[in-house]
Amino acid sequence: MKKLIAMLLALAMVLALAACGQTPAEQPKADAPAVNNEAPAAPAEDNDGLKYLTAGQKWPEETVKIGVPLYDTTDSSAIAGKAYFDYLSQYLNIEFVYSEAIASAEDQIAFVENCYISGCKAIMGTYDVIGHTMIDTCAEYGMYYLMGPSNIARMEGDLYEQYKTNEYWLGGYTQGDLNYYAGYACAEYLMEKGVKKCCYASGGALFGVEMFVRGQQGFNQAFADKGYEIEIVELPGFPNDEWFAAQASILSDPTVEAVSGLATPNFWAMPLANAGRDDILLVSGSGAFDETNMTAMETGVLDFSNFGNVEEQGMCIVMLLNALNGDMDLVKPNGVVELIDANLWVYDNYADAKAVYDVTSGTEHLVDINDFCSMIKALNPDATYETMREIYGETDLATILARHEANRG
Amino acid sequence: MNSVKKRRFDVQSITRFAPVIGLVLLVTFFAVMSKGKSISTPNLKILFNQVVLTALISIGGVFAFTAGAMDMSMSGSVCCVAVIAAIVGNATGSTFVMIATCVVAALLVGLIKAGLSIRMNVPPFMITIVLGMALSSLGNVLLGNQSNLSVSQLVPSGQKTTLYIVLLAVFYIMAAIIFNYGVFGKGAKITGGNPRAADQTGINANKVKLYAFLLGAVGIALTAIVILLRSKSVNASTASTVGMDMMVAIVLGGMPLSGGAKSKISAALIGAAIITVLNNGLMVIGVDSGSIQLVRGILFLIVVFITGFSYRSNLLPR
Repeated sequence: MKKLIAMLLALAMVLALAACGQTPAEQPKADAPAVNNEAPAAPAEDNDGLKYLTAGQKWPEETVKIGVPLYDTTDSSAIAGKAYFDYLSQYLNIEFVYSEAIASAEDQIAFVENCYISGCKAIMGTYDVIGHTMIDTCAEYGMYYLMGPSNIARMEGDLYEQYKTNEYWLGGYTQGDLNYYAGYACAEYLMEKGVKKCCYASGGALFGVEMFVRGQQGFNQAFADKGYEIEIVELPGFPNDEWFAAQASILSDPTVEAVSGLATPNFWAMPLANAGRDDILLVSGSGAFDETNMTAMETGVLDFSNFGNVEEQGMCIVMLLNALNGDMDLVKPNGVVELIDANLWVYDNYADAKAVYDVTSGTEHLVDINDFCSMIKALNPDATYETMREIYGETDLATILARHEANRG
Repeated sequence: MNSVKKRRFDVQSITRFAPVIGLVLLVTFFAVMSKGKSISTPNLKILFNQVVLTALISIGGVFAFTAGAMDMSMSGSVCCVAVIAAIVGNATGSTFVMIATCVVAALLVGLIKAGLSIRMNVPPFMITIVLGMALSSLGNVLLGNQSNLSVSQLVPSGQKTTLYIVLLAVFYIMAAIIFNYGVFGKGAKITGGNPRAADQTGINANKVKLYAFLLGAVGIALTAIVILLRSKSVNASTASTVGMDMMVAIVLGGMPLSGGAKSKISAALIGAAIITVLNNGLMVIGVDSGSIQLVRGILFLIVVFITGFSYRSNLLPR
């Protein structure tokens, strides 16, 4: 009897949990995704600074759901990206379905399949290691595939040729060879400072992780190009007990003048401070405009960094909304997939970096809602493919802010 | 006296089917919450595509676990086998050779596991933990500087659900026959339940372990094949979660990880189905990713609680 009661209680708990669920989304269409998008009525004069939308009225009418596979849900770029998407969602009828931390290709494919049944119209890849399989999987389910900050190395050559006309691959914002140039820029800064001995934290290069491999290649190539003599102490792998022991050993070497690598501030700022090594230059190959990096720059721990602007991921959504409206000339102007490299925001001083951080972390944003809507033909009939390239290609803060002001009238 | 016996029989009848009841409850719950979307034809197809991996590896795993040999190297084994097969497949340009390599490499891995387990006087789970790491590393080394190795040229496009159904059905039927009606199945259960008693009844424990790991290797080979067909690529993280999924599936399916008399081959299938339905269903009803793990954890606890009834027997503890 007790067992039966226990089973009934368990059932009651299951049903109680049911109350936590959200309203299910609409069943997706099996054929190519489309959306009903009539442009909203002309905005009134007092429209909360919105140029292309009517305040309080989201566009488009039908919710556009987008699946976003994430490899590291705690990554600062992923968190910043979510915050930016939340901002866009205040004005646009778009909804994001995020994955849990994806551990393997199988998990990623399962996530895409589940997104399909959840009603997603597209998948926006973040860091895909199986780019072409993602395209195939999305195509099987009639969903568009866009690349977020992915590494396109695998899509070059034969694979790109094979997939560039694929109906379901819209292209997108990619890191391209950003990591190579980031590594190269770090090395240039070290040469400028006359550094003769440097530690390079090569991270996943040991395991063949593309971004780290290319970052290290760019770093080494810069010295080779200039014929610059430098002693490089490599610290491979990711932080664990052995890694931190090796780090301590490096920091105890008085001849080491600098530390470089991708994403270095997270694992070096505190140890440098604890070791009292203010003399060591910390040169980062990549980072987000986030509080950690800004604090590191403000306190002088981080001397130089290449930053990535997560708002550039919005380019994928622009492409998707144009594609759903049938304006493919704004997505594939030449009939084939365009892969647009992200910008490298390079800073060696706190003031300039902070100015950008203040914009991205506040309510302003580098690509604000007016910028965003100006690239969607259904909202702005004058929009062209070049409009999008210009807006996302701009890295001068003053120009960006002036554009925002002009849009607000 | 009769009424006591009858009541016990009733409870045992229910608890014997507890994993199935758990699965049915989950399916019903998600069907209601998603207004039928979770049991729509497209989703059933998706569910099948997703369940096949966990089911194949779990069926293979049941053999070793039944014999008391906790195999913790499944993820590493599948990863290594898939990488070797992808390299050989790309080198020869033949899909058939790639698939054959999966089988040969997996059997070789199974032989190594069995050999080490038999020769070394160390609990199999310790050997397989180390071996799993070694095999993952080997796969990584074989990949070299390539973070991802594509086999898309060797894999025809399109969905392969029918092929997966055939693979799973054939393997399950064969496994069920061997497990339930073969000499090996009985020997494995006795060995897993009490090795000393098994020895005294004339069962060759070493032979049982050898067969268990070889049959497990078939599961590894089939899992590697399905991964190659589905992902069309391999990398260092390939199959990194299948080992844990397998153990969760076996437990949810109503089989103790320690093996022995309570082991059953159906646990692999039902457990794999429970995991898949749960993961899929939570997304379909719109639970956000942040809450999915929490909700899944709670639901797992409930399902384990329900399936746990089936462990409770009147047998003396071992």
